[in-house]
Amino acid sequence: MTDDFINLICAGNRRAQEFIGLWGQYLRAVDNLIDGDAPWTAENVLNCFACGAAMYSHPFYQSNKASLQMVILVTTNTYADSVKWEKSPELWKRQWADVLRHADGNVMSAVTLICSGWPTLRSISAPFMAAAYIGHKDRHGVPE
Amino acid sequence: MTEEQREIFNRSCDQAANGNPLAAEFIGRWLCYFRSIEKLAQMEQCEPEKFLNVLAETNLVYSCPYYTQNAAFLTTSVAQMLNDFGDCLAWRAAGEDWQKRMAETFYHAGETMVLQVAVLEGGFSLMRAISPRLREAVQQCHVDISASQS
Repeated sequence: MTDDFINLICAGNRRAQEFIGLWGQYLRAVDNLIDGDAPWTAENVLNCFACGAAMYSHPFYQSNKASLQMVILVTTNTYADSVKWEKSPELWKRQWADVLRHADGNVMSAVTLICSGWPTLRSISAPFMAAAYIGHKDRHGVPE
Repeated sequence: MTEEQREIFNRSCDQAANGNPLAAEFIGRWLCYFRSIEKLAQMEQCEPEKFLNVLAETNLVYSCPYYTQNAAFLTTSVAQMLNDFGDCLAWRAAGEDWQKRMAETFYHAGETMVLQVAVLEGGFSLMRAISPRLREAVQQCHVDISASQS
């Protein structure tokens, strides 16, 4: 994500920009542990939960908790389904997992709605999802 | 944990909340949450499902109304508790006796939250009233668990 893109979805809201930065750090920490890119060590696990604490304690999250809590919880659930299905013997489940892995885009969408509103969300949503999907496809291929 | 230790521990948590149901709810959630982190951090490997369940707990803990009301006071403490627990695990395996002793003390980092809530709900005097008994209960419980595992 470029600074311009973040600026657009946050409509210049500095707190929102900081929150997105913390969300990104948290996501990477989680992803790395799940994917095995980071070894499962006490340091890495505790670092991940420290990232979570920083993100959830940020004023932007706390002041928009009513909007963000369920989105993040549902996103976590969707991601869990994706992880469960990504190695399924059934092709359709692997294909669904390949799409559901990008559920974190819902949090970006929620921030966009809070800061910039529906028209901005409609303008960035499809390109954002496409970029996320294609970026992953180029690095890891698609389920076959 | 013996019945007596559990009673002392639960009474300390109730006292820390000082009649505030939101504080009591938060303490309960926090202690369960920190236990989950303790377990995860000491595992060799972890199934994604288990890990993601704790991420959901993370969401619920930090979205508790009590945490929201007091996030500014508690944020740094949370980071310190995680940090202390990290030092504990790093030093448990260390060779020096003093490191092992410090590690045993830091093992109870998560329970510090009970004392933090006590300060917020009843001031320094409430924290002082609870602190020694709480530490005795958790330390004794830990000794019992360690003995049963050795």
